Amino acid sequence: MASFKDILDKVKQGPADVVGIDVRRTVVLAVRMRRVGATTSLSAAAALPRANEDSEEARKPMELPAKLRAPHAAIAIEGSEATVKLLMLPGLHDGGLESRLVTGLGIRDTSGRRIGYKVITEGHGRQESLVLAAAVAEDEISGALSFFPSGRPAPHSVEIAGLAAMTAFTNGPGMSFKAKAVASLNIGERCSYFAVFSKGIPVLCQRLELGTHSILERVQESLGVDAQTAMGVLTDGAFDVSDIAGDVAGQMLNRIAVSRDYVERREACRIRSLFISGSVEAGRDLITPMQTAFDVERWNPFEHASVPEGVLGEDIGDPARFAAAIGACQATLEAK
Amino acid sequence: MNLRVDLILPSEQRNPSLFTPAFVVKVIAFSIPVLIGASLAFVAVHVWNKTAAVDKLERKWLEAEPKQEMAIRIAAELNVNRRLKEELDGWRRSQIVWHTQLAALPRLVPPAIQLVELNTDQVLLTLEKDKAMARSFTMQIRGRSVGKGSDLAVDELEQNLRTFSVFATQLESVEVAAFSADTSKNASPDDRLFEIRCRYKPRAF
Repeated sequence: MASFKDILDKVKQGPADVVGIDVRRTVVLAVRMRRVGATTSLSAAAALPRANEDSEEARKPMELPAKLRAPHAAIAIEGSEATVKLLMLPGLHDGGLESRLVTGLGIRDTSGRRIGYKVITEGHGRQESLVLAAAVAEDEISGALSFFPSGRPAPHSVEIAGLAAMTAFTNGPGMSFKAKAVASLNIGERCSYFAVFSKGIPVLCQRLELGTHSILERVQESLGVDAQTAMGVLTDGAFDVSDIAGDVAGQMLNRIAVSRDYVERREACRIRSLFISGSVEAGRDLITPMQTAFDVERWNPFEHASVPEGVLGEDIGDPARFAAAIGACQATLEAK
Repeated sequence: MNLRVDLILPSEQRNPSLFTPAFVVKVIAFSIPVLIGASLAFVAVHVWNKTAAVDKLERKWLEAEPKQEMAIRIAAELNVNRRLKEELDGWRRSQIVWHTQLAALPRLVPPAIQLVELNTDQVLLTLEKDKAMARSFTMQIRGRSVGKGSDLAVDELEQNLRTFSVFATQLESVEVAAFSADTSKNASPDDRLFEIRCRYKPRAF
């Protein structure tokens, strides 16, 4: 006989209508997705300009267009000072998990930080559990929550954008690599996330303190232009800045290559494919050198979602940027 | 599969539904005092209105009370007077107009008859027909008939009383109650003493 809790769990459904919000420094990427039965479809998407992050305007509650005003919001933040690690922990239920996560993350002072984790695979007996852990500044979380203080949408979750993009990858191109190892890179503004999946399970998740902002700063210094002009230079491709960006791209490639070699040895596999999402257009100078080491594929997260005709406008810009917003929605709609 | 490390606290999650338990509690917490306040205000206004109405009516009553008492007194007097008038009307309706009777009587009396005494009397009775109270009058006429033909003279008087309109319409019966010789010292042998009783028709009040 089913217990009351079982019945309650059956009745209790997770959100079925959610807007994924990827809060970036200069833009807010929003995607609304709905689940009807087993079908999930995208109902709206927009790239909303954001005031300078240092201004008062940028801290005001966010007014979303009506088409994006879903009941729930899955917020993805950059996690500018976040620590993210994939940990192998023995005896998940032995107690003291919090302290072991702190140790595993390598954090000395936890004040002003919030620590969260997700159990990827749970080990039984002597088998270790695979846990994805993250520590993020409290201020950044509360700042993101303050965008939606009342009404719709109501904050449902806060996660790191790079990890949300990995969720979109696992629900997109990652689905085709259940038996092989594959790498995914999400290029952010100040940081990027590199993950390797083997047989559908993440075996490496690395935060790289490099992003489009790193190149942007170099371009600003070299060309003596402001941030807006430098961004224009990076996105329209009118100037060849590969020499200027080469240093940053080299650093990133080195780190990725080291991580890849480590995983290939540990997992006894070969990693050829690298799927790139995030600021692909702005980060094209980061991507080019990687083609020497990987079969690079820029993937469009909208191609792996059910998108009715007419939902995507011309103004959404680089579609790869929406991976985190879509991943945040998918994780919410998947959760019960 | 997802790689979400959810960093939100349960206390930071909001229910987007308008009708959250907290909202319902707030609405109830707000609406009950409002309802009580509104009810009290309604009752207070109602009481104030009724008190004002009572005051107004009391002022009206103070003005009207003497008039009402006077009206009651006058109505009582009117009733008394009406009853008195009805009684007097009854007496008037049931009376005999004696002066017309007495004025007509000498014209009926033959020359040979000398009237000696006339008495009237009345009794109260209830009419069988409609059970109304009525007065029944009688008239007793005593006299002396002189000379020969005294009996004829008495008969003539009796007949006149029956037929003469002034009496005929009102009398129920006329009868000679006594007829005898006059035995007084100066009377002739033909003189007679007689008595006629007339009964009037009963007259309802």
